[in-house]
Amino acid sequence: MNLSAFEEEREMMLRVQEADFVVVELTLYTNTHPDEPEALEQWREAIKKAAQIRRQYENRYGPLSLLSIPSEEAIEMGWRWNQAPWPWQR
Amino acid sequence: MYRGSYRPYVSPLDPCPPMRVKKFVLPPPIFMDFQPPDLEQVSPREALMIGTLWPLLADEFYREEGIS
Amino acid sequence: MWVYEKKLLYPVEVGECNPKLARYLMEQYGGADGELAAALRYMNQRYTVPTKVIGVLNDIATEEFSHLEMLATMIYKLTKDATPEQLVEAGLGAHFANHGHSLFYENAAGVPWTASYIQSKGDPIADLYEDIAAEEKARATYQWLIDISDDVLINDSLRFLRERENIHSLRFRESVEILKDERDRKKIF
Repeated sequence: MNLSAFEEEREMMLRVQEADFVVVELTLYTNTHPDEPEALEQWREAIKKAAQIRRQYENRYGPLSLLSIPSEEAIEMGWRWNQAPWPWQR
Repeated sequence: MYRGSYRPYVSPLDPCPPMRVKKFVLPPPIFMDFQPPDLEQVSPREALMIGTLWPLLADEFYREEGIS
Repeated sequence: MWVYEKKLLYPVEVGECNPKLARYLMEQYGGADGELAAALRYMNQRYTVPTKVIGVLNDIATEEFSHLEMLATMIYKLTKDATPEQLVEAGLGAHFANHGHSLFYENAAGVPWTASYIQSKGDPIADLYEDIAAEEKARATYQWLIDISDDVLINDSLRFLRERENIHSLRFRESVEILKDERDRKKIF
């Protein structure tokens, strides 16, 4: 993998991490603030946004979890779940 | 904003060079039993970098502060 | 149940091979106030807390597992290619004798993790107060780790983790307030 492809993947992963983090944060918030319509709406939107960004990443690099369907193309191209790098190896 | 300090007793017999002022942390959650709605938020990128969506709840910690 | 996500919660980066720092980080991996203790404590308490605060326990426990994975990543990277001599020099000789290059749930002094670090009292206030204390102790541990680490990239991840302790502490404090609202009103006949 050349450096720019490596950097590109990292940048997209960072976008996934940011979007998912907002969901984590707002989920905890709405757990203790269940009756705030604005917070609930922001939480819903954050989940929607995170799903979009995740789809962009996965279309290019393959599923991040098995809740996403691997495309036939990805399998043909050689993508496998059990393939390096794992998150701690990156 | 989220730090305190005190002056400990210094004995002439203390073996190490005395630290005249000792600082300690008073973290954000102790000032808030319940987070009020509509606290200012930062962008998702900034949130991930500081570890929270709400900068008022972030008291970043650096070794240069000399708290120990 | 849980579904594995092939990503870290936060983009962990490590500056240099530094097994001594790895040894210190083990305090938050398998220590009394570490991430494993936190995750298992909350995950176990969630069964017997009032309904309104189950979500907080469940979701913070889940997040703690992602913190555990971040710590593991740092320790793994800091030691991965260290020679046995480097490990001995870093104070990890005894660790190496027992575990080789593998990770283990133990604290910075090599004491293995034990369930006696955690409690579940079946009393919501006793449990939540323990949880608040656990978050503050973990926050303090991250402070001392930042103080003894000069790896700016590691410190970046440690600062993130420390801040999460603040947020968790606040959510547990809010949970106490939520339970205070459940106080039985005196019935008038």
